Amino acid sequence: MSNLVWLIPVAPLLAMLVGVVLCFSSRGRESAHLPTWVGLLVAAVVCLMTLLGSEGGTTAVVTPGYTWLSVGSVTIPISARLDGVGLVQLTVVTCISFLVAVYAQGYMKGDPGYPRFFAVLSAFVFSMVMLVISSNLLVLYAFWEGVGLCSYLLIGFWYQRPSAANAAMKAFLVNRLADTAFLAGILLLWHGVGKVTTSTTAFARLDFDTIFNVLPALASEYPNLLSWVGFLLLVGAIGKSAQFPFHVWLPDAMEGPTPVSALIHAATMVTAGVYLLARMSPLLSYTPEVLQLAGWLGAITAVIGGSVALFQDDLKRVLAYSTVSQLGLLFIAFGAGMNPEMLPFAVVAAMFHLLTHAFFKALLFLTAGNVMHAMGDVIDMRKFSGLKSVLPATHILFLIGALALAGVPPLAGFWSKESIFGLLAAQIKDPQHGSLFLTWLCMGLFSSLLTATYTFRAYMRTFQGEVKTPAEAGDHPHEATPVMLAPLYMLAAGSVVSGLVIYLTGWLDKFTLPPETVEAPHGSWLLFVVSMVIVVAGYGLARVFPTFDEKKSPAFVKALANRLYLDELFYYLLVAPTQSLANLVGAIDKFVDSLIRGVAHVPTAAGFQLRRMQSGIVSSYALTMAVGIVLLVALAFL
Amino acid sequence: MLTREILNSLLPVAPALGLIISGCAILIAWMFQPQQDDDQPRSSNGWAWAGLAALIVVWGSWSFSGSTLVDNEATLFRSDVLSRSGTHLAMLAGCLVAAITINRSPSGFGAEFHACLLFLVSGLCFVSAATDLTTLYLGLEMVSIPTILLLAISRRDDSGMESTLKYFALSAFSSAIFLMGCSFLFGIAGSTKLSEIAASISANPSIAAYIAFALVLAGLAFRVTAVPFHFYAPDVFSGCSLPLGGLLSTLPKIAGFVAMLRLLGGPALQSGLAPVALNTIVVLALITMTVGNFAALAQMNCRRLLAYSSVAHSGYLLMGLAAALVQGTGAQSLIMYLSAYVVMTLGFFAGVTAIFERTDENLDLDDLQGVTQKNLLLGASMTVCLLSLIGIPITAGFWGKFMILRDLIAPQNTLLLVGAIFMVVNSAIGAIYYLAMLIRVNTQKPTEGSQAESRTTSIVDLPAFATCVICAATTILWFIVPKWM
Repeated sequence: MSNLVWLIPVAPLLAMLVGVVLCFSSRGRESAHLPTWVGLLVAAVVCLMTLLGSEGGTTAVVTPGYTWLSVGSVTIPISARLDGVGLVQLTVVTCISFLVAVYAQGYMKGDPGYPRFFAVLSAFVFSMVMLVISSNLLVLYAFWEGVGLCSYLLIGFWYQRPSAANAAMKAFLVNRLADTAFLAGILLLWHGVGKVTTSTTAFARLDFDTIFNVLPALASEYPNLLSWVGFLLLVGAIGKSAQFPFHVWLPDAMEGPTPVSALIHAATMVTAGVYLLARMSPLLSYTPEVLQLAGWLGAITAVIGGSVALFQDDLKRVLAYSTVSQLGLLFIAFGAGMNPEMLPFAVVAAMFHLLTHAFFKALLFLTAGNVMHAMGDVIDMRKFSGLKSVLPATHILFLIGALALAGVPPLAGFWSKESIFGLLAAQIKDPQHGSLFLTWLCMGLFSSLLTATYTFRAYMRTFQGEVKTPAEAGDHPHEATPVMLAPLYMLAAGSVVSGLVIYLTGWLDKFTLPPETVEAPHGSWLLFVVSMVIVVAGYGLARVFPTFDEKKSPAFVKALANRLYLDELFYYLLVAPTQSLANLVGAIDKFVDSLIRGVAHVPTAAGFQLRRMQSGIVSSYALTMAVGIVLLVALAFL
Repeated sequence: MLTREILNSLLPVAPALGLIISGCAILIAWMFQPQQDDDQPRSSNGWAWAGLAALIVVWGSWSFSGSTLVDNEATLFRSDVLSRSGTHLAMLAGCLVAAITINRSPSGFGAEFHACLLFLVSGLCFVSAATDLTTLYLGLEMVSIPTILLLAISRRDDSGMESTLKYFALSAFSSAIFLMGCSFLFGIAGSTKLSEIAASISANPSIAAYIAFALVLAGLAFRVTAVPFHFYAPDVFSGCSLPLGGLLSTLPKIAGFVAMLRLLGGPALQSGLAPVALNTIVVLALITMTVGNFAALAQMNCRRLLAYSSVAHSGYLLMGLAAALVQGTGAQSLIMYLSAYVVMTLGFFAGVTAIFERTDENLDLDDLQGVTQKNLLLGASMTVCLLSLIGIPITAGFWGKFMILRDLIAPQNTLLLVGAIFMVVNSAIGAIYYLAMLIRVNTQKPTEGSQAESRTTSIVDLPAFATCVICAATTILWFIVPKWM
């Protein structure tokens, strides 16, 4: 199988190249989805085959791919490193991407940028796949940025709209901020590895295998350095995974086309940060303080995301904040891995929730896309209701997604949340951090309550009640086309069964746990009951929850509706100081510039002097040459 | 028996012989072509295609069969890594020049033009395979004499004649100096074989050997337009047709550097002349790149600017030579830079050729305005070539600079480190005028009344356009797959 691994990134890459050609051609634009479909299908099939044919285990298989440069002592090989976690992540990415690409054919039909959309989509999947399989942290970083670039292009797909262009810029800049820390972490790690080993080339120092091999030495000699590396990597991860305080870009990213929201901001890209933590978990096991920070950030994000989601009127924004809060749960899971022996279970739990979340969140986004399509691009829940009869298929699909998200058993979300909470609950009696785990458990359960409430509320506001459609929808709002519904049925099936199957069979464990570990901690019956109560309470709350009028509501509601003013805070804390700094630097720069300008005149002036020597007279040229020869001979005697 | 031995010894230069035969065939065929009136220019297209086809056929057949040759230093020609890379480079540059000139051979002289081009390329093959001073000198002359002929027939107005004469006189001068150096070498070693000369010098590095070295270097410095032997370049560039400018900035340069490697790259210099030779070459390199870049900054004339840019690149290449001398492990980085240089330079020349009806008139930088606006593909290709000339990643030029800089830094030699710093600073200065061209190509609208504005169609020369695109694609391909360089 190992030879086939390279098909997974290469197929989307070829699809992208064909797509780029189609962007510039006048013919074949309307069939631009075909190369992407084929490329992603190939990638997804290869992934599934590899996954099903794999015997599990955590050993990584390194497949050499392409030696970019090999001259003298400089060798830059690009290899694929695939282990259980990577394989699961890869399968999620390729399968969901394929389904979204199928859906997008219907959704994007008739858009003038149709080929561009699919070309960038392929490029995105290529970058994401390379990010997952790369065997070197530096290569991972390169594609990490590639993913960021593609998301910029996709969020700003309708770049003619100022709001979309701004959202794309915001996402890119916020990510850059975090990525700078990530890069610093990589360089620091490179430096550290170089201190404890000299046997490898400069590039190979950042190979995951090398890093993991020298970790014990590094941890004993430079524990502080390792903590810093862990912290900086965490900052990179929370940037991409939209955790507090970097979560501000994600809701704005809803300006992109809905399939993009489903793909990038629910199923794949935002999970890159989680994947990074999972990938670097051997390193993080030496730095429990970083995991503790991850847990706190996750808990705060889960609660904030859930509360803000409750007060949004825009259906897609509700889902966006829901994503933020669900990703918070994943980070709580990492916090639960503070005790090194628990870290593998934390990774399993995180990957589990990541997988189920990918199914039902993609489903929810795409059904929201159906609603938007039918309502003439209106997504404000104040303007429509009672769509149950108008969009029957979409209604059922959304309901399935909502139930899965809210955590109703036996749908997927219940089980994966259960495994995170179970992990926390099992450690409450931990003498050192027990109270911490209890706090996180409570915050997690509270965010679950919020999740159930806002999910049911969004469902009721959209599909229940009396039929109301906005003027933009026209006379006869229509259900989505079969090509858009087909992938949704598959996602719905995944949302229903994936959780139960994986939970009962422990199928994920065999990919992510070392073979001889103790039984994974599962939740107790008490926890099951608590969860059920929470779901029911959430439903009840959603029924009685009032709709607030912006003007007459209490201050905290206003704050939540305005996303806790975090954007404004960001502006005053970061953007405004940066701007004044920039102005100051600009003033200094002008002064320095005038000096530099003076210097810059020197080459030009010198050039003009040189021009004088260019007299055009052959004999003078020959004379100069003769002088040159004399000088060369003289130099030889020096 | 004897015949067989002679034939075997000629095998390393088989491609050169193939090119000479094809060149002669073209000339003979031309004699049988019915004569026409002089005032009705004959199409020279056919000859151009014939020349290009000959190059490609010879190159292809040699590539597929030549690598199994036994390297025999005792004969006049050898087949080693340098001879193979030199021949590949010569063929590559020859093909590209032939492709640019398909529509641009001088009317009435098509056959001569392309026959001369074939002879010129064959001379390069001789240079790269030579093991003896005589064959080396023969090869160098086989490069310079066709070059003079090409200059003479492709532009027959006053300024064309002037530049031809300048080139002729100075080239003869430099040949004489080179020959004088060779006679010193012969005097020292008592033999014309390069291996014996090397052995003799390393056994006894005398003052005569220093002088011989300086003279030989000076002679070759003219071919590679090193300062202060570069003065002819801007004058000749502005007085010849554009494709010939491309030719002048690549083919003689390959010849010069390959000859330098043949003469100086051997073990002799490692032991005998190394420190002296190194000082001289580094000083020459630093002066060359600095003067080239500074003079280019002051230019608004496109041809002269390109001439100075070629001077500056010679400086970088000389640094590569210095690094190769210190490391003694062959000149891989120098060859890589040369390959990148050939493709990006000829690509840009092809691009400029593609948009101008007449290739011999004065060309200002502003005449490049708005290429991208009129033809996206051409603009993009020229942009790629310019980026490569700056040395920015995603292009082959990046690897060229990167490899040379790496070789300069790796040996921890103070002189080379200084050279590396100079090279970086110079690259930054060079970026200024390349960016000036890049901006004009991409953004600015043609100013009114300029030549650029009067261009109605964007492309007047399809083969040159295709060459430019191919060069740009190769530049990017080589960045992704540097081992093909």
